[in-house]
Amino acid sequence: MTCLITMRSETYALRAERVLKNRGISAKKIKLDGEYSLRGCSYGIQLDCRNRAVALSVLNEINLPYSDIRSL
Amino acid sequence: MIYLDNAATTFPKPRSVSVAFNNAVRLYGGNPGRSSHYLSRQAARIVYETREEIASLFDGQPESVVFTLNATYALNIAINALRKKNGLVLISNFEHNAVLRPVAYGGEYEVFDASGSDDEVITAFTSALAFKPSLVVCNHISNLCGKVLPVERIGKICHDNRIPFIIDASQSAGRRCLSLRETYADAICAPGHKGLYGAQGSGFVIFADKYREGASELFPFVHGGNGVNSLEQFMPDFLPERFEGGTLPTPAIAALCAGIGEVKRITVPNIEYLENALGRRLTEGLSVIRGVTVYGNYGGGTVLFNVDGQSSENVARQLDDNGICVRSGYHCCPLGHRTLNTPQGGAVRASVSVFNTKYDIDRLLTVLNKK
Repeated sequence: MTCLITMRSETYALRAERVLKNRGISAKKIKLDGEYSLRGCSYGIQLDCRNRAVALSVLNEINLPYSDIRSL
Repeated sequence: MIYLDNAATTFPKPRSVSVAFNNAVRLYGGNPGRSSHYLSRQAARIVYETREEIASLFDGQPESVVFTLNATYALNIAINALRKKNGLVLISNFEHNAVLRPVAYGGEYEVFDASGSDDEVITAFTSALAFKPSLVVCNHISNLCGKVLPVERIGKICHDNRIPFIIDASQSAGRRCLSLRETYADAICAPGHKGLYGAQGSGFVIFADKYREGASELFPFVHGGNGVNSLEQFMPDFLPERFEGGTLPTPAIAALCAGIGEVKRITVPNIEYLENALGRRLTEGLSVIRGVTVYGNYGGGTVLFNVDGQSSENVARQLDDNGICVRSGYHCCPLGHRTLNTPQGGAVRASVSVFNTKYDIDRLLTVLNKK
């Protein structure tokens, strides 16, 4: 199953993608569909849900803010 | 052609810089942060990689890097974001108009004397705290004479007194090691096209980590679209997009990324060493030419001088006739010229880069010796 983590902006999504890849977690930055971006254009990262907990722990470790986590 | 005007902009650029600029125009000319297609994604990626390069150079975070057109825009952003309403701003007597003008336009300011030894500068700075500044802005290296300000010590004092501190790194970025953490700076502003060898049209502010979460209190200087939270009426309340309205100059940013790569390849300490050696050769050579006055012999690769009985413009014109590029006049730095007591008409500035050679220096000295 694929999970989606919403990030503040493309800059944050790119950093999340880069940091996770450096830790061996495959993640892909995407521009979000309108249903996930109520404030207008938004970005997030997609990853395997099995990596969700580790990914969130990495993002917390570097204080990289994220807002929403969904299973697709 | 001998180019000795590197304090204005470095030239020539490394080949990798022009290749990166060209590639951005030819191969990934999409608008970064706007669309989800390949070209936009590629542009966004190079923009982000440049943020990473800048962050690693200045000991900060990639998302705290705000891109601007040049150092002047960067300083305007930082000064307007960090100055308090009706607060006094303290600056040094070597500041460029990129600092003096936005500070003077926005309200009261005072000047401290930075012309002495490090200890004397710190004494003058500490005394000037009696003005109760709400913001301190000073350059790291003077654009006139290579004077290096003790920004680590100034920053520590600002930190201890809870005064925000902005460093104008226009002349030092790429030429001196500079760290957000070691200087306690709230923001470092720099152009991309000088010591970082990027193209004109690039510059940046890198804010301290604490502003990543506290950016909502910072007044944005430019308002507009940036591909983030586009249904909202106001700029995002986080860095870097709070300050980035409008399309970013991707080719110039890509060139800057390549330029920083060159700086890292040569290394900042090597650049400092090589430029200082050339500057020393120039200063020593000028000092023995009869009728030449060197102002503020502070070391570094930027040397200010005049020739007795000739205007600075006339000397620069004659050097130009001999294929040597220097800059005459006031160098957008009236405060510094007053500090160094140059005559009306200013002075001649010769400024090296790591790509100059001893031959370039000796050629300038030979031409001046013939006068």
